[in-house]
Amino acid sequence: MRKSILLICVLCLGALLSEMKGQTATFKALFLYNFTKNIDWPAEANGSDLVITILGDDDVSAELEKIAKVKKAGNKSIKIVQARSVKEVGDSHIVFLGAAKSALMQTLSYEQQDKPVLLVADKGGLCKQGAGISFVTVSGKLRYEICPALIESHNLKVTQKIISLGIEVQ
Amino acid sequence: MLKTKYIIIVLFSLFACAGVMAQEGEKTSLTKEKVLSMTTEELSALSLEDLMSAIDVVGVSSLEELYELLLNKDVTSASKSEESLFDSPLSTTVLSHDQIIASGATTIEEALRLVPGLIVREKTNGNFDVHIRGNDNLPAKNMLLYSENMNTLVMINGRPVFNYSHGGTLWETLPVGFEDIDRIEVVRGPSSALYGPNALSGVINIITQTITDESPLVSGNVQAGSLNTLIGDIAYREKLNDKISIGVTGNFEARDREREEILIYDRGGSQYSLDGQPVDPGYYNVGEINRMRNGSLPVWPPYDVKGERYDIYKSFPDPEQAKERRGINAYLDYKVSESTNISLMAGHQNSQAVTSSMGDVPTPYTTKIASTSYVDMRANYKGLSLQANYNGGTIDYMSGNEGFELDNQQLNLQAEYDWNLGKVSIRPGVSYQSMSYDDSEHIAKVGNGYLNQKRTINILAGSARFDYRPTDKLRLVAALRAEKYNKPDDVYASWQLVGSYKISDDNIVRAVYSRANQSSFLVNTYSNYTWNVVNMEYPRIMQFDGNEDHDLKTMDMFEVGYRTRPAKSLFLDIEAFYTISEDFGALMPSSTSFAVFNPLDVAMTGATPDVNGIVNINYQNMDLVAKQQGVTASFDWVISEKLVANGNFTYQQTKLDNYFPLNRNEVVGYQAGVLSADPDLPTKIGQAIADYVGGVQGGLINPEEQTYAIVSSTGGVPDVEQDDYEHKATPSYFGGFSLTYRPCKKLEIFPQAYFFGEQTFENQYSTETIDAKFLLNAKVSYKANDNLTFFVNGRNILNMKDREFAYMDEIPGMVLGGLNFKF
Repeated sequence: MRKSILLICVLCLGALLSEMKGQTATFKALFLYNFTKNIDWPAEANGSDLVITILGDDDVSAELEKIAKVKKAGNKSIKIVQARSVKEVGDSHIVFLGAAKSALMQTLSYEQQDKPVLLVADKGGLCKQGAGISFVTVSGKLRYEICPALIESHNLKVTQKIISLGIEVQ
Repeated sequence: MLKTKYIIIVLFSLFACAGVMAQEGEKTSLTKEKVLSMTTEELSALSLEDLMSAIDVVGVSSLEELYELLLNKDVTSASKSEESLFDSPLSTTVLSHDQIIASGATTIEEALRLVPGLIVREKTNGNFDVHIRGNDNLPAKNMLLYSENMNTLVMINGRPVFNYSHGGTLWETLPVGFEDIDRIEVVRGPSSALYGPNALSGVINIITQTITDESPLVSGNVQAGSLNTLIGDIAYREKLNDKISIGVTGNFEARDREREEILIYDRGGSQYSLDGQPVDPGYYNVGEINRMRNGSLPVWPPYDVKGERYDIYKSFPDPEQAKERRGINAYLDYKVSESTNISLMAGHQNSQAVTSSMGDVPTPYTTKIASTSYVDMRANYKGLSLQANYNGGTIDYMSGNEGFELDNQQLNLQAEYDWNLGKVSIRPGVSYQSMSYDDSEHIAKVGNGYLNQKRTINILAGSARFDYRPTDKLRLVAALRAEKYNKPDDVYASWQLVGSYKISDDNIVRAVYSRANQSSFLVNTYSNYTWNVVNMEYPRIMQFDGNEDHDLKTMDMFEVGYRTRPAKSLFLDIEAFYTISEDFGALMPSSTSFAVFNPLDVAMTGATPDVNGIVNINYQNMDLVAKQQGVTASFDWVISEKLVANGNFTYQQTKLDNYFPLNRNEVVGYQAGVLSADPDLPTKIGQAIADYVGGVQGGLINPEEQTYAIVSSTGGVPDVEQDDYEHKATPSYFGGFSLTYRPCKKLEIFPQAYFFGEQTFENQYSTETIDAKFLLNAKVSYKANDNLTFFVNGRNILNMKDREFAYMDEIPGMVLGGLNFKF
């Protein structure tokens, strides 16, 4: 039995080294950018830039930087801010909470509850903890759960299109 | 033969359907290459629906999907709210529907062999014993009843499916099949503070599927093979509109034993004979058992109950069949408003299983027959969660044995509220449980059952859970619960105190101190059963009495754990635990009496006195303390898109203090020896007869009601308790590993090993050694198209037939074939 386990471990080690990097971060960044086209922020949230704060996902942050270089959100420049903790999250139009930090969702939503911000999470089920949108993988396809009531509670307007293309949850 | 025909027809029909449906290919002008060649600017310019179409064409890479599915699971049972498994503050494992199907497990219990820290032993084909971490068969040296796992709370969507009559879980009575299940969450360690009593070693929460737009309309699994095994389930689910979803599922399982004979074991010097010829204990068919005698007495004497014959044929109506069960479930989800949701689930099951006995009969086997129904309602309004459920029906724990068939009604009500205050979330709750069991409809007269009427246990509980995150890395959890029982009339407290610290996104440590308690059970509390022994020479009467004021068993646990993701593809979890269990209880002899059973004959005709024993057995707490220490390590490793490895290993040691090394019969024998050694015994016999005759003549004794004269009694037990006794009923090591190998998209090979070390099972009649065992299973699946997967499923392919559970069957290797379908 020991020999078998050893053999399996050796085989596995070689395979580990050839780990692939997926496209998912790019897709999530594109989704986040696309959400800016389908959400209306109130007047008090207006500034010269549309601020997207990323908490806990360097890959998505890097992909968003690429988009920000070539695209605008309406007539606003897109500003990407990286935060390392909930405390560091400043005024933002969108806050994206990476999967590794999903335990912070309740705290984040509490801290941001009265602000005009779209909270996006990277893990299914987090709408129950305050995320307006949460990415999920369904049958190999990237999808998102959306809770219109939660988004509207932040004084944002959400298009019917973004609702109908997502998985609506409470 | 007929079954085979049907299977072929079903297979052919499904294959044909799938073939037609497979013709409907994806219609899109986008190709993967085209999307991948687009620049960021071009992709950013797409509308949301076009972007989604483009992303769908590329898809999430298989590797990314595997990371998500296997290494980034969610769990709700550890905190009663959804959280990442990695962040769970308790030792937790989630088994997904896809993992269960891929593994080839033929039952829920067998699937649990994939879970770290679980000991799963097969008793008869498809009937299992499941324990979390061990502490099993305590107190030892007693009836097989005490080998049932009374330490783990099994639930379906948070609804307890627990046997409050005797304690334990009747797995064959679970109404759900694989197609009902979304995932199984296992939390190791005392969890009564969250889920109520009986979650001492942990909880197993079976979560059913949520009906979404993505749910297949019809899905199912069917497989058939060795030992006439036929297992199938089917589900229909539909989201009718934005507010209403419905579903109906059905499941079926039938499987034979590897033999039809029943083991008759040596019950302390039995002198068996068959057709007048002396025979040894061993395996006999029911016809032979019907003719066997123990000394001068029949081994399985028949009697009538309400005009029905209770004999060996009623006890074992299908001795060749290990299990047959059918279940049906209906689901209704109603989204009342944006903030209000109601889920209804209801179902029914019929089951019959030949498995280990709960009572004291000449065989360790019994047939359990159950017919139960349930309805479960869950409602959410903002932070408020309500759950109400009812389970009722009839369970015959030992068919053909009067007094063991009970009607049961279980009601659970629960309300909890999630109150999020930012860094602190508080979840207060109240619950009420009422469990009633009634044997009066199934006994010939009062006194023949052990309850003899409807008896109830009520539990009223209040709880609160505080989850405090002073920083992003530190988490402190305190869950407290107080339960008021009607019997015993007492309040019990349970708790979980947890601290976790997230060193980094990929490293987290945790420490837990928790306590849980068992509930009272009907048998322990209310027993009042007179067993007139007719198939053994001694004793003549055994009187079983419950104890309404006993102490409930508790378990305290100290645990530390560490979880890490050293690479994106690897998930490691290590937990070290130390538990102390005390306030064990058992039905044990409290006193033995000698009595003359023919006092009037002796007095009137000079007959020889018929002196025999009367044993009083009471449910009583014991001084026994079990101390267990152990460590469990597990890993999940996505090696490549084609290869995934999972494994776990547990090493544990259990020591007992105040261990009582004598079994029930030895205590009775000791007490009988004390009485026999009394030099005044002949005098006392004469005096007892004289007193009895005097009582009859004086009208103080009714000879119709009291047919015997008590000679002498004793309640003494020898002082032989031992400390630091090594408890060997739990194997010192156990675990398993598996590989998922997908050489191409259509083919999947899943070899899985499960192993455990040697065990020593101490029963009231003997001690049996269970050898270490290594089980190897393998399932090979071929995905014909998105709708249909064919498979060949080998269970125990090394044909290791050694017993896994004392006295039970030696189950051979099995081969099954079948398919999974979804449309």
